[in-house]
Amino acid sequence: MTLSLKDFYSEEISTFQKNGASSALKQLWARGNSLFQTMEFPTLKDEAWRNTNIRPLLGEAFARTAMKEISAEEIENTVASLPIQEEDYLLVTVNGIFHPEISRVPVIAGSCFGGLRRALQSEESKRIEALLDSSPQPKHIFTALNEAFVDDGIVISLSEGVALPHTLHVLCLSAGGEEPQAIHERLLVDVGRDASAVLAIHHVTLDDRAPIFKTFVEDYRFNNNASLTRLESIRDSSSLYRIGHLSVEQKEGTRLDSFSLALDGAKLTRNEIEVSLVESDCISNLYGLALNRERNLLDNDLLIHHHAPDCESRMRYKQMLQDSSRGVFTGKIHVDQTAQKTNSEQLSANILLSPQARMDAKPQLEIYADDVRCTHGVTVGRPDPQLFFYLRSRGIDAPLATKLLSFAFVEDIISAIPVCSLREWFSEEFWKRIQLAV
Amino acid sequence: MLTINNLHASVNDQQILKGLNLQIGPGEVHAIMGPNGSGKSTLAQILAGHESYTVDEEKSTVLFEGENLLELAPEERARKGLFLAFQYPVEIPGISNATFLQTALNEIRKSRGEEELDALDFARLLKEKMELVEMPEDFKDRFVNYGFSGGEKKRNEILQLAVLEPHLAILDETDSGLDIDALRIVADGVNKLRTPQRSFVVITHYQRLLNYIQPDFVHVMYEGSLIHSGGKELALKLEEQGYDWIRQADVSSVN
Repeated sequence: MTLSLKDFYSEEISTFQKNGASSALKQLWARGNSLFQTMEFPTLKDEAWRNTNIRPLLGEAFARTAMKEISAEEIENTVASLPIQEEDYLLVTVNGIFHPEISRVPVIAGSCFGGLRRALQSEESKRIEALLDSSPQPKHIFTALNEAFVDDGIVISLSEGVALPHTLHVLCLSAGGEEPQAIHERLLVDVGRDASAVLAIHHVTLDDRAPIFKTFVEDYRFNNNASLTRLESIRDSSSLYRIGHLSVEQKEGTRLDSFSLALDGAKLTRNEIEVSLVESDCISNLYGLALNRERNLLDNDLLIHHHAPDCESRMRYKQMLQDSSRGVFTGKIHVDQTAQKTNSEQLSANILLSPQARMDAKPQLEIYADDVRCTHGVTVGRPDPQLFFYLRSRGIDAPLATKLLSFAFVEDIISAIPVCSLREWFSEEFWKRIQLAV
Repeated sequence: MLTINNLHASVNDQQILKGLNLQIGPGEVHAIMGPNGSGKSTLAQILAGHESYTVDEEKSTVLFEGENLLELAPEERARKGLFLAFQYPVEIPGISNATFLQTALNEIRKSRGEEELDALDFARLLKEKMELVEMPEDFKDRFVNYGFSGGEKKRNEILQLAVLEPHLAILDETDSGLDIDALRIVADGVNKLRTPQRSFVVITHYQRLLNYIQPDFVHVMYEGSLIHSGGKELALKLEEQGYDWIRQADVSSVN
């Protein structure tokens, strides 16, 4: 089965790669394809996938999506359902292809926002090519597939000193059809020296009649003193399989605050984040929140690699698990010998709201420097019966007490969101889902 | 208001309450004193409906305003007008005091067929009640008891009492851990909340709280039952002479 599936995708790749593209893109395709050929689909025997059963994903052959038309009305409705202010910027992709006609693109001299294909033909092409050339090599077969199929995607390149005045939203619409379909999407972000921005990525699934296999690869580069707040809202469907890989390279004095907020999970979600703090005095905060339901599985696999001294990092991931859902958390902190004075905190807190739910959480610390402060903690439990009784003794019945305590559990992550309109929106969306679910 | 008859209760097969009797009328303040381990807090927890205790329902009856209290879930007891000020109030990070109290009050009001209070009306009510217990305004936005000092937690219990306006309030060692100023504020709050209808059970180790909250009755609890009752002068006598004289009297009466 696995072999024939590989043949299927090889066939798909060679058909796709007959398309015309710029040489930079073709180089990427070639690398993706050759890695795909040498790699195998992971199994439960692979340490990195030990708790993540991907067999359902391998049980279908997902053909690359054809161009998909989505009505203007449907897009408008989706935009209206998101916390996008009038003055905010908006870049929209449908199945990985940028749609300028429904976007509100910032115009800033020297910066570049929009579709990857266009960017490679613009005045900024040299810079974009250089970024593509140095994009991290895929580590597993799914990211290799993504690379072999990169058709378009979004480029955000902020030139030196630019502070983007409004939130930049990227709306990624996934629309399937009657047959299983694959969507391979890419986001490239380069934050120039002293530049800063708030980026909000929204994943919305529109048509889920048949299963969708989505890969989403994000590549972030931070030049000196750059800072970025990255928020990700996920509204997937239970017929979607999502494999995400985010890589970050931070140079001196940079700061990343990343929020991955899964409102509606996919059947299978694998979220990989790899942060490299290559120069000193960086801050990297990774927050995650998910409400996991049904038989869905959410696997967060995070790595922060401290190469340089005097950096701070934090992982704070929380999951609420209902029904027969499963959660996996792997949090690695790697501190090189050169990374003295590292200050790193890691927390994975999880609430099981059903006896069938299951969580596997694993912190991994590898520390080669002696003057560091690294803390880690994992909790998996049910709502505290003492708190429960306290609320009930005040007239609040058990179902409402569970909802309130669930909301209390996620409050610290939501309140860390620095933009008021986004914070309020997430707060409302989580409360709505807690109301329905608990 | 409350009639407890022959209350027997245990936890983990250990008998704690052994035939306790108590009758409380409207507007009365009853103090329950007694040495450690005599079952005072167990009584409070059982009345509030804590599920880790097993009540022997064949022997015991507890009537609250004519209804069988033992059949009611904790939230139903609260909605009927019973309130327990906890000895150890829990911290709830993530829920603000105001949200918590507004939710609780509206749940109680809904159960009585009364209209829910909107945010504005509630804010007005809360401000008034916070002044009553001399609580700084910013406490409404702080998480419930989170990072509060011992005294602030106890004061917060009295604030909840003031907002929820129960018919019967049980104060479980509300005075323990309080300095003299905090004690005065808590006691003043309670005194302001006394009405001809509202009754109180004040569980305490020390007589000093009863200097501030004047009880109508004082009961001595010993080994799971109330073995001696009297007026407020009994508290003074306990303060002076300890519990030994009652124990001896108890033993001699058995013999």
